[in-house]
Amino acid sequence: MKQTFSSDSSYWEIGPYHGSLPAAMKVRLRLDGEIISDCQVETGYLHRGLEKACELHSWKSVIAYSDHLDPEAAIFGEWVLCSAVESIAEIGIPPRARSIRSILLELTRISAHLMFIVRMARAVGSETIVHYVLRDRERILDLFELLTGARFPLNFLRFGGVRDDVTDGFIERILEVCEMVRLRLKEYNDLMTFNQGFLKRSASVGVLSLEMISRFGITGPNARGSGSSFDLRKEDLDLGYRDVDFQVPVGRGEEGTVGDIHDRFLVRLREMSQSMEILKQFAEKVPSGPFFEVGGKGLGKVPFGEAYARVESARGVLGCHVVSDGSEKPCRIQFKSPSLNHLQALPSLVIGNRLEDFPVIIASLDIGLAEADR
Amino acid sequence: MDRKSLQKKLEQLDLRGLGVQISPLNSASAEWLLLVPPEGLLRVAKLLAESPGLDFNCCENFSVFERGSFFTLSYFLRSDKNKLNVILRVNLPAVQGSLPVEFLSVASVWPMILPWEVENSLLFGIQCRGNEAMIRSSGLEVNLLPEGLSGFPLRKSFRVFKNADPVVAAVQERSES
Repeated sequence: MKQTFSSDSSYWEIGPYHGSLPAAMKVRLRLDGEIISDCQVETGYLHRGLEKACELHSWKSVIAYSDHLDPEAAIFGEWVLCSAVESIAEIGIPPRARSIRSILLELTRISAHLMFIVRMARAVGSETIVHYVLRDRERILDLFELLTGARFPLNFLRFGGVRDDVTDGFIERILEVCEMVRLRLKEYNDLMTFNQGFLKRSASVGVLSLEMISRFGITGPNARGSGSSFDLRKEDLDLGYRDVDFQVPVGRGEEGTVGDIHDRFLVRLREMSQSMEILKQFAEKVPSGPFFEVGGKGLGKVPFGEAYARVESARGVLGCHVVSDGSEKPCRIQFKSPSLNHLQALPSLVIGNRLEDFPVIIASLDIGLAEADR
Repeated sequence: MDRKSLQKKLEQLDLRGLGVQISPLNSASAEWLLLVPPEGLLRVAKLLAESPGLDFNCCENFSVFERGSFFTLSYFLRSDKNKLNVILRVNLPAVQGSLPVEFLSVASVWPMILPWEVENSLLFGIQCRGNEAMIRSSGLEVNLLPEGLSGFPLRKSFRVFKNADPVVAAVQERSES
């Protein structure tokens, strides 16, 4: 209080529940006029003890828990967990199952990026595009429902494959949705990407430098927006993208500075476009054969051992360290979420910016607090 | 850089002289596992991060698990320049109950690891010393546990229902009796 009265600074405490925040978290800002001169972020409000819960349940049921790591992009958690367990138990995955998994990953990536556009639009007060994007995202959720019976927590992957085979017409509908999203991307560009109002809020604002990327260990579209070309789909050939032709979009500072909000937005739009190309390639050659490896069926116990699996999720590199002591329950399941790294960068990123830019900067980082807090 | 060149580079560092055991891994996520004595961790970390030709610039993950009589700490390292991955590992004697364990922080070498060190001090009771100033200046406060909770939830000795909601605890006790 004494500090407030004796200076021109004012102090704002936002959260844990506030419209400008991605979920429950607390932010303490010190303002010098309109300029943010200090920022403290407090997280942990969404800690559910997910990793402890995994240790208390059977191997089979932890797949459902992994869904809740990031409810908006559930399949990445499932994928990375199944991949680690399959590595310990040395269970192979049939090519058809591998292909179905990859299709789900890319569909989820598009869905997550569409939700990112919604959050960005809300942050800058552009209501029109919110409705358009949510309408289009419904089509992808419909596809999830058609395949898995669920829209958000899919609980669809199994150790050694997937729960069910693709339903009739699923592949054709993927191609239809791809075509629809491709057309819509142009609409999004007209409404938002190159809209003067949006450019003023995003160009040269919230610049994430390559030094910050390296210091905070930032990965995914946020890193690529700053010019880093690291994409696990290209780096790790075992992820199943070896024969897929696609490019890794990186930020070039087209409308402002490299690594600004606009670059992070643009990279995600371009990634959606690349994901559609990947989807088309997967959808055109889904191999025939079984969708489930018999060895994984009813896996009651996982042999003694450990494995670490990684996947390029919609938010960055998601890792999962699984340790088994040979019993019916996991000894340890640990998730490495990219969002915790992004949160680390937030204080440095907002200092020096205006208060009105705060919601746009935080939305542009696409922080998934559910996966950061676990 | 391939696996053999990496092995050669690691041998040139004379890590075995520091008591490090190097073993190959057949895993997509890492080529080698380096088991380090606890007191040598910081020195090995600096060597791996700063040696030309290795440049392990990123500690992608820091994971702890308790198995048998040990807390096993794993640091998953990545070299973007050389496209390499190794796992650095330390075994600490496990402690039961709510006594914390003191250990070294490697956040001075890999600052991205800081929130994971804080997490593990809250959930496992492994308190990494030497990162206090970095935590204060980071502006990020990780508070995962409710106030007044005693013990460390990810330790095997932690009883899950001990501090839970009284209704849940009552149901649990009833079912146990």
